[in-house]
Amino acid sequence: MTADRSPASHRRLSRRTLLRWSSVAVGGLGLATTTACGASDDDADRADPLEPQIARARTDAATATALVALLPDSAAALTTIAEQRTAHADVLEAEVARMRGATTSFTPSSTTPALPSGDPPTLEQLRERLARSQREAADLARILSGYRAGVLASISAACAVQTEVLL
Amino acid sequence: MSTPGLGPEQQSLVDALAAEHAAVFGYGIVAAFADPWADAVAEDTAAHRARRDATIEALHAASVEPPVAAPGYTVPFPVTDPDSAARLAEQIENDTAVAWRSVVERAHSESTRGAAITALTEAALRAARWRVRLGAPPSLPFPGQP
Repeated sequence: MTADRSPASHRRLSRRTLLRWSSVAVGGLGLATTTACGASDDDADRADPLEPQIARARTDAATATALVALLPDSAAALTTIAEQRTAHADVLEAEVARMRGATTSFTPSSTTPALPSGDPPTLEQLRERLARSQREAADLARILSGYRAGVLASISAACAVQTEVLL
Repeated sequence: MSTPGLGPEQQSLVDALAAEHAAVFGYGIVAAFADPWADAVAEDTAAHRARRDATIEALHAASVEPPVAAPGYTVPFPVTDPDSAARLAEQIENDTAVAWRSVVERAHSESTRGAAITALTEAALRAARWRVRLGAPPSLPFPGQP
Protein backbone atom coordinates (compact mmCIF):
# COMPACT_ATOMS: atom_id res chain seq x y z
CA MET A 1 0.00 0.00 0.00
CA THR A 2 1.37 3.37 -0.92
CA ALA A 3 0.30 6.79 0.23
CA ASP A 4 -1.56 8.72 -2.47
CA ARG A 5 -0.13 12.07 -1.62
CA SER A 6 3.49 11.47 -2.50
CA PRO A 7 4.13 11.98 -6.22
CA ALA A 8 6.50 9.53 -7.90
CA SER A 9 9.36 12.01 -8.02
CA HIS A 10 9.05 12.62 -4.32
CA ARG A 11 9.07 8.96 -3.64
CA ARG A 12 12.27 8.52 -5.65
CA LEU A 13 13.89 11.35 -3.73
CA SER A 14 12.75 9.81 -0.46
CA ARG A 15 14.20 6.51 -1.52
CA ARG A 16 17.56 8.15 -2.18
CA THR A 17 17.51 9.89 1.15
CA LEU A 18 16.65 6.58 2.74
CA LEU A 19 19.61 4.95 1.02
CA ARG A 20 21.82 7.74 2.25
CA TRP A 21 20.71 7.03 5.78
CA SER A 22 21.25 3.35 5.22
CA SER A 23 24.82 3.95 4.13
CA VAL A 24 25.39 6.07 7.22
CA ALA A 25 24.14 3.12 9.24
CA VAL A 26 26.34 0.69 7.35
CA GLY A 27 29.30 3.03 7.77
CA GLY A 28 28.74 3.17 11.48
CA LEU A 29 28.38 -0.55 11.62
CA GLY A 30 31.57 -1.05 9.62
CA LEU A 31 33.44 1.01 12.16
CA ALA A 32 31.99 -1.02 15.00
CA THR A 33 32.91 -4.24 13.23
CA THR A 34 36.48 -3.10 12.64
CA THR A 35 36.85 -2.22 16.29
CA ALA A 36 35.41 -5.54 17.33
CA CYS A 37 37.78 -7.41 15.00
CA GLY A 38 40.73 -5.46 16.34
CA ALA A 39 39.84 -6.44 19.86
CA SER A 40 39.58 -10.10 19.05
CA ASP A 41 42.69 -10.49 16.88
CA ASP A 42 44.39 -12.68 19.45
CA ASP A 43 41.28 -14.80 19.68
CA ALA A 44 40.70 -15.39 15.99
CA ASP A 45 39.04 -18.75 16.29
CA ARG A 46 36.52 -17.67 18.87
CA ALA A 47 33.18 -19.27 18.01
CA ASP A 48 30.69 -17.21 16.03
CA PRO A 49 27.54 -16.57 18.12
CA LEU A 50 25.46 -17.78 15.15
CA GLU A 51 26.94 -21.29 15.29
CA PRO A 52 24.66 -22.71 18.01
CA GLN A 53 21.68 -21.48 15.96
CA ILE A 54 22.97 -23.34 12.90
CA ALA A 55 23.20 -26.56 14.91
CA ARG A 56 19.70 -26.02 16.34
CA ALA A 57 18.24 -25.44 12.88
CA ARG A 58 19.86 -28.61 11.48
CA THR A 59 18.61 -30.73 14.38
CA ASP A 60 15.10 -29.22 14.11
CA ALA A 61 15.12 -30.11 10.40
CA ALA A 62 16.29 -33.67 11.11
CA THR A 63 13.65 -34.07 13.83
CA ALA A 64 10.89 -32.89 11.48
CA THR A 65 12.15 -35.21 8.73
CA ALA A 66 12.21 -38.19 11.12
CA LEU A 67 8.60 -37.42 12.09
CA VAL A 68 7.34 -37.44 8.48
CA ALA A 69 7.45 -41.26 8.37
CA LEU A 70 5.79 -41.57 11.79
CA LEU A 71 3.01 -39.02 11.18
CA PRO A 72 1.99 -39.19 7.51
CA ASP A 73 -1.05 -37.00 8.21
CA SER A 74 1.23 -34.11 9.13
CA ALA A 75 3.74 -34.83 6.37
CA ALA A 76 3.14 -31.58 4.46
CA ALA A 77 3.69 -29.33 7.49
CA LEU A 78 6.66 -31.38 8.71
CA THR A 79 8.29 -31.27 5.28
CA THR A 80 7.84 -27.49 5.12
CA ILE A 81 9.39 -27.15 8.59
CA ALA A 82 12.34 -29.35 7.61
CA GLU A 83 12.90 -27.29 4.44
CA GLN A 84 12.63 -23.96 6.27
CA ARG A 85 14.95 -24.94 9.13
CA THR A 86 17.47 -26.19 6.54
CA ALA A 87 17.21 -22.86 4.73
CA HIS A 88 17.79 -21.10 8.07
CA ALA A 89 20.92 -23.16 8.75
CA ASP A 90 22.24 -22.51 5.23
CA VAL A 91 21.75 -18.74 5.43
CA LEU A 92 23.37 -18.54 8.88
CA GLU A 93 26.27 -20.70 7.70
CA ALA A 94 26.82 -18.37 4.73
CA GLU A 95 26.84 -15.39 7.10
CA VAL A 96 29.38 -17.05 9.42
CA ALA A 97 31.56 -17.81 6.39
CA ARG A 98 31.23 -14.23 5.11
CA MET A 99 32.26 -12.86 8.50
CA ARG A 100 35.31 -15.13 8.63
CA GLY A 101 36.39 -13.60 5.34
CA ALA A 102 36.39 -14.67 1.75
CA THR A 103 40.01 -15.80 2.04
CA THR A 104 39.16 -18.69 4.31
CA SER A 105 37.88 -21.49 2.15
CA PHE A 106 34.47 -22.55 3.23
CA THR A 107 33.06 -26.03 2.88
CA PRO A 108 29.38 -26.28 3.66
CA SER A 109 28.87 -28.94 6.26
CA SER A 110 27.27 -31.95 4.67
CA THR A 111 27.22 -33.92 7.88
CA THR A 112 23.86 -35.23 8.98
CA PRO A 113 23.11 -33.85 12.42
CA ALA A 114 22.68 -36.44 15.10
CA LEU A 115 19.16 -36.69 16.38
CA PRO A 116 18.80 -36.70 20.14
CA SER A 117 19.45 -40.35 20.90
CA GLY A 118 16.92 -42.76 22.32
CA ASP A 119 13.28 -43.09 21.42
CA PRO A 120 11.93 -41.78 18.11
CA PRO A 121 10.96 -38.10 18.33
CA THR A 122 7.43 -37.00 19.11
CA LEU A 123 5.44 -34.07 17.74
CA GLU A 124 5.49 -32.56 21.22
CA GLN A 125 9.30 -32.66 21.27
CA LEU A 126 9.45 -30.92 17.89
CA ARG A 127 7.03 -28.29 19.12
CA GLU A 128 9.18 -27.66 22.21
CA ARG A 129 12.36 -27.55 20.15
CA LEU A 130 10.87 -24.99 17.74
CA ALA A 131 9.51 -22.85 20.58
CA ARG A 132 13.00 -22.76 22.07
CA SER A 133 14.52 -22.03 18.64
CA GLN A 134 12.13 -19.09 18.32
CA ARG A 135 13.18 -17.71 21.74
CA GLU A 136 16.91 -18.23 21.21
CA ALA A 137 16.91 -16.57 17.77
CA ALA A 138 14.94 -13.60 19.16
CA ASP A 139 17.23 -13.26 22.21
CA LEU A 140 20.31 -13.24 19.99
CA ALA A 141 18.72 -10.82 17.49
CA ARG A 142 18.11 -8.39 20.34
CA ILE A 143 21.82 -8.11 21.17
CA LEU A 144 23.17 -8.17 17.61
CA SER A 145 22.62 -5.54 14.91
CA GLY A 146 22.25 -4.99 11.18
CA TYR A 147 21.73 -7.96 8.87
CA ARG A 148 22.55 -10.50 11.60
CA ALA A 149 19.83 -9.15 13.87
CA GLY A 150 17.40 -8.94 10.94
CA VAL A 151 17.88 -12.46 9.66
CA LEU A 152 17.64 -13.92 13.18
CA ALA A 153 14.41 -11.96 13.73
CA SER A 154 12.95 -13.42 10.52
CA ILE A 155 14.07 -16.90 11.58
CA SER A 156 12.47 -16.43 14.99
CA ALA A 157 9.21 -15.31 13.33
CA ALA A 158 9.30 -18.34 11.01
CA CYS A 159 9.65 -20.68 14.02
CA ALA A 160 6.67 -18.96 15.66
CA VAL A 161 4.59 -19.63 12.55
CA GLN A 162 5.79 -23.24 12.50
CA THR A 163 4.57 -23.96 16.04
CA GLU A 164 1.46 -21.79 16.06
CA VAL A 165 0.11 -22.14 12.52
CA LEU A 166 1.77 -25.07 10.75
CA LEU A 167 1.65 -27.71 13.50
CA MET B 1 9.02 8.80 3.48
CA SER B 2 12.24 10.26 4.77
CA THR B 3 12.54 13.10 7.20
CA PRO B 4 15.76 15.10 7.30
CA GLY B 5 17.68 15.12 10.55
CA LEU B 6 16.61 11.71 11.78
CA GLY B 7 18.97 8.92 12.76
CA PRO B 8 18.55 5.46 11.22
CA GLU B 9 16.57 4.06 14.17
CA GLN B 10 14.17 7.00 14.20
CA GLN B 11 13.77 6.91 10.41
CA SER B 12 13.03 3.18 10.53
CA LEU B 13 10.34 3.82 13.17
CA VAL B 14 8.86 6.61 11.02
CA ASP B 15 8.75 4.15 8.09
CA ALA B 16 7.17 1.46 10.29
CA LEU B 17 4.55 3.95 11.48
CA ALA B 18 3.73 4.77 7.84
CA ALA B 19 3.26 1.01 7.24
CA GLU B 20 0.98 0.75 10.28
CA HIS B 21 -1.11 3.75 9.12
CA ALA B 22 -1.45 2.03 5.72
CA ALA B 23 -2.38 -1.23 7.46
CA VAL B 24 -5.19 0.40 9.49
CA PHE B 25 -6.52 2.02 6.30
CA GLY B 26 -6.20 -1.23 4.32
CA TYR B 27 -8.03 -3.31 6.91
CA GLY B 28 -10.96 -0.92 6.49
CA ILE B 29 -11.23 -2.15 2.90
CA VAL B 30 -10.66 -5.76 3.96
CA ALA B 31 -13.49 -5.40 6.49
CA ALA B 32 -15.93 -4.33 3.76
CA PHE B 33 -15.47 -7.58 1.82
CA ALA B 34 -14.15 -10.26 4.21
CA ASP B 35 -17.49 -11.17 5.81
CA PRO B 36 -16.55 -14.81 6.44
CA TRP B 37 -13.62 -13.71 8.59
CA ALA B 38 -15.11 -10.71 10.41
CA ASP B 39 -13.67 -11.79 13.79
CA ALA B 40 -10.16 -12.14 12.39
CA VAL B 41 -10.44 -8.76 10.67
CA ALA B 42 -11.54 -7.08 13.92
CA GLU B 43 -8.70 -8.71 15.85
CA ASP B 44 -6.04 -7.85 13.26
CA THR B 45 -7.28 -4.27 12.92
CA ALA B 46 -7.09 -3.82 16.70
CA ALA B 47 -3.55 -5.22 16.67
CA HIS B 48 -2.43 -2.72 14.03
CA ARG B 49 -4.08 0.17 15.87
CA ALA B 50 -2.26 -0.83 19.07
CA ARG B 51 1.05 -1.12 17.23
CA ARG B 52 0.46 2.22 15.51
CA ASP B 53 -0.24 3.94 18.84
CA ALA B 54 2.78 2.33 20.52
CA THR B 55 4.98 3.50 17.64
CA ILE B 56 3.60 7.04 17.91
CA GLU B 57 4.45 6.98 21.61
CA ALA B 58 7.95 5.70 20.94
CA LEU B 59 8.54 8.52 18.44
CA HIS B 60 7.18 11.11 20.87
CA ALA B 61 9.52 9.73 23.53
CA ALA B 62 12.40 10.22 21.07
CA SER B 63 11.23 13.82 20.43
CA VAL B 64 10.30 12.99 16.84
CA GLU B 65 7.04 14.35 15.44
CA PRO B 66 5.19 11.21 14.26
CA PRO B 67 3.83 11.46 10.69
CA VAL B 68 0.04 11.42 10.38
CA ALA B 69 -1.80 9.01 8.10
CA ALA B 70 -2.04 9.90 4.41
CA PRO B 71 -5.49 11.12 3.29
CA GLY B 72 -5.79 8.08 1.04
CA TYR B 73 -3.85 5.04 -0.12
CA THR B 74 -3.53 3.21 -3.41
CA VAL B 75 -4.71 -0.37 -3.11
CA PRO B 76 -2.46 -2.63 -5.21
CA PHE B 77 -5.34 -4.58 -6.83
CA PRO B 78 -9.14 -4.31 -6.89
CA VAL B 79 -10.80 -5.72 -3.79
CA THR B 80 -14.25 -7.01 -4.71
CA ASP B 81 -14.88 -10.22 -2.73
CA PRO B 82 -13.69 -12.19 0.32
CA ASP B 83 -10.84 -13.78 -1.64
CA SER B 84 -9.32 -10.51 -2.86
CA ALA B 85 -9.90 -9.02 0.61
CA ALA B 86 -7.92 -11.87 2.18
CA ARG B 87 -5.15 -11.35 -0.36
CA LEU B 88 -5.01 -7.66 0.57
CA ALA B 89 -4.84 -8.58 4.27
CA GLU B 90 -1.97 -10.96 3.55
CA GLN B 91 -0.15 -8.26 1.59
CA ILE B 92 -0.67 -5.73 4.42
CA GLU B 93 0.91 -8.22 6.85
CA ASN B 94 3.83 -8.87 4.52
CA ASP B 95 4.39 -5.12 4.12
CA THR B 96 4.35 -4.47 7.86
CA ALA B 97 6.66 -7.47 8.44
CA VAL B 98 9.16 -5.91 6.01
CA ALA B 99 8.92 -2.55 7.81
CA TRP B 100 9.56 -4.14 11.22
CA ARG B 101 12.43 -6.28 9.98
CA SER B 102 13.97 -3.03 8.78
CA VAL B 103 13.57 -1.56 12.27
CA VAL B 104 15.36 -4.63 13.69
CA GLU B 105 18.26 -4.01 11.31
CA ARG B 106 18.52 -0.25 11.82
CA ALA B 107 17.75 0.09 15.53
CA HIS B 108 20.51 1.00 17.95
CA SER B 109 18.73 0.21 21.18
CA GLU B 110 17.97 -3.27 22.43
CA SER B 111 14.49 -2.22 23.53
CA THR B 112 13.56 -0.96 20.05
CA ARG B 113 14.93 -4.15 18.49
CA GLY B 114 12.94 -6.23 20.97
CA ALA B 115 9.69 -4.41 20.15
CA ALA B 116 10.41 -4.73 16.42
CA ILE B 117 11.05 -8.50 16.72
CA THR B 118 7.67 -8.88 18.44
CA ALA B 119 5.94 -6.75 15.78
CA LEU B 120 7.60 -8.76 12.98
CA THR B 121 6.59 -12.05 14.59
CA GLU B 122 2.98 -10.97 15.05
CA ALA B 123 2.73 -9.79 11.43
CA ALA B 124 4.22 -13.11 10.24
CA LEU B 125 1.62 -15.03 12.27
CA ARG B 126 -1.26 -12.97 10.88
CA ALA B 127 0.09 -13.32 7.32
CA ALA B 128 0.32 -17.10 7.75
CA ARG B 129 -3.26 -17.30 9.04
CA TRP B 130 -4.51 -15.30 6.04
CA ARG B 131 -2.65 -17.67 3.73
CA VAL B 132 -4.37 -20.60 5.47
CA ARG B 133 -7.75 -18.90 4.90
CA LEU B 134 -6.81 -18.48 1.23
CA GLY B 135 -5.84 -22.15 0.96
CA ALA B 136 -2.29 -21.11 0.09
CA PRO B 137 0.93 -22.66 1.44
CA PRO B 138 0.92 -21.14 4.92
CA SER B 139 4.40 -19.90 5.50
CA LEU B 140 7.57 -18.29 4.25
CA PRO B 141 11.08 -19.26 5.40
CA PHE B 142 12.11 -15.64 6.13
CA PRO B 143 9.12 -13.45 7.05
CA GLY B 144 9.85 -9.76 6.56
CA GLN B 145 12.81 -10.33 4.26
CA PRO B 146 12.25 -7.93 1.37
